[in-house]
Amino acid sequence: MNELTQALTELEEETVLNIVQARMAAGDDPKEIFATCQAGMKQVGQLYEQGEYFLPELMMAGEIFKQVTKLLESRITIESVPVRGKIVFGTVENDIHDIGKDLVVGMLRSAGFEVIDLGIDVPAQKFVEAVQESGARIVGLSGLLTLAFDSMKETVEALETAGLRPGVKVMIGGGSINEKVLAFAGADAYGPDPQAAVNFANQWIAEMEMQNG
Amino acid sequence: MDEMTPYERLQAAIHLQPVDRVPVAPKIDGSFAARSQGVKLAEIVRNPQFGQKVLEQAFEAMGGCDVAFQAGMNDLGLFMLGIVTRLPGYHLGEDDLWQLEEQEIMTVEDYDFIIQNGWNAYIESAYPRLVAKGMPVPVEQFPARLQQMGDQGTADMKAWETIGVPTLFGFGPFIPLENFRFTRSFKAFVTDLFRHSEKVLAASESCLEEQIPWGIEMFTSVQKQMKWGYVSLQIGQTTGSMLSPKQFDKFYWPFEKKLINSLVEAGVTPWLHCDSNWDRYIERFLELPKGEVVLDLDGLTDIARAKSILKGHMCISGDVPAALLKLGTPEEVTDYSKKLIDTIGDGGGFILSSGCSVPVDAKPENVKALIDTGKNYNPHHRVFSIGALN
Repeated sequence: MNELTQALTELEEETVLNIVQARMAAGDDPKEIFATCQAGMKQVGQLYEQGEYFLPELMMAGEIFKQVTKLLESRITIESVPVRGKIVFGTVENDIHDIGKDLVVGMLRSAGFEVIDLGIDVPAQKFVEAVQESGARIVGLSGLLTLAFDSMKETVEALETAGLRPGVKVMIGGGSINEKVLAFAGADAYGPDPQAAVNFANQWIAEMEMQNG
Repeated sequence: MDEMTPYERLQAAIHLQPVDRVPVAPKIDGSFAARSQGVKLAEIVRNPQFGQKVLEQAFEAMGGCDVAFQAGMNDLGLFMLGIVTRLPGYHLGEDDLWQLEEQEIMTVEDYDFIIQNGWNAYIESAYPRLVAKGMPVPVEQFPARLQQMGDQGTADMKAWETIGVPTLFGFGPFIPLENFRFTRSFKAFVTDLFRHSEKVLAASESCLEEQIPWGIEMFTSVQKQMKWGYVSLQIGQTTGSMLSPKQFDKFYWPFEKKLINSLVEAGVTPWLHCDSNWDRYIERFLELPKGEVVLDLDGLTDIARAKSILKGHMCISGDVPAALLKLGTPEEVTDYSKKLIDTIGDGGGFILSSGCSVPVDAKPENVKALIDTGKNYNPHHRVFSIGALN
């Protein structure tokens, strides 16, 4: 494994940043450095799926990755790196919990998705507007409280009313979300952890690409 | 078997002895109590004495059960744990649900402060920061209000005792990482585990050193005032379930074990309320004292698997999910509760409860269905009676 990929996989913050800075100073291609780090993030995701890494390791990896991105941004616009797809994400109205949302947003970004993070306590109409403006075809709704179930349902209905629902996949997540809530809200999937969100997003993007030929 | 009192039933279940029926203890706190009784949430936050009355009213309206919980919220919110809280009537509308807000109140330097001075001094040092973030109690009134809150807690426990129901106390010593995580904010806390691991460990040691004797003294003094001489303490645990085995063994389990062992030795019954999924660490609870601790599961941990591992060692409580109490029908709640009694209740050591607190917007008829089922569906009564005849 590449030294930089390995350092990121093992969450060696200082080592990662030192290598990135040294490579930048040596004139290495920033896109290549970025891709090498993305490979590390992929490894971290795999270790998480294997049960060796847990949320803190995911978050720490995300934190290191964020710093790498910041360093590289002086040389390249990260937007020039191919984007896997756009996702509109937020904690639904009447719920101000942001930990779960931030975790998932961080994971999706490090997996190569462009995430439009609408924040917390987000009214249904804001999701609709964000989908219209961005053209995103995936929406993520987060919420911890049972009150969030109603807001999730209202958000899905608002997407329907706006005529956007057929072209958009909706995932929901949060502490007490289960099959029953999924059916109630009328969303397409729910997941127990951030990796599930990444998996859904990857799967849906692949399906959409297939449909588009 | 003769009919037991709620206290006897609870004691028997915790100590893994035969019961006349499973104890029923849905975690009804102030939010559901108020909403179901047509009281605005801000009213109980402003007036904890009224909050207790509303709780008693809801308890009766739902049919009464075997354990009562505390109202759970007043104008101190969770500020007293260094956590920014948004309260109805103060920061939110009169009938909005209180919520925690992730804010970085504790700094990295505060680990050193806690190592030197302990947790209580840290909270005191954080008052001005908390007031700046919206705590509605002025700094100079805070110590007196804390004292009032403690007195109110004791008065509530006595009130429940008069009604004939044991109470679960919700404020006391804690697993250090759980409180660091909230007052530090989750993201900062997580990076601390990697960047400042030695500080986190030393501050955890310092917290327990202070909190164990402080908590035991507090509970012993309350116990002396109670007819039953019994106090149980709800201890929240979420963070451990999120840690990898390596970090769990380093930062969490040694402290939890030390805390629980000390409390049990002092005669306090810990109820470990496990938020989220604890499947991977269930075996570890075999290391805690047998028949003295309740493991309260919220619907995300596999309760059947937990039972198969902890049977004969630990009383399990749970786990009618919040989503079912809000979205389900009374029939569905009844079926779920019956299944729990049949499977998890088999052989005793089980308390029928809601997963988390009964949600504010649960259907009252669903809460009644849970309680009714616990009281009236009783396959084990027969088994134990036959055993008694033999």
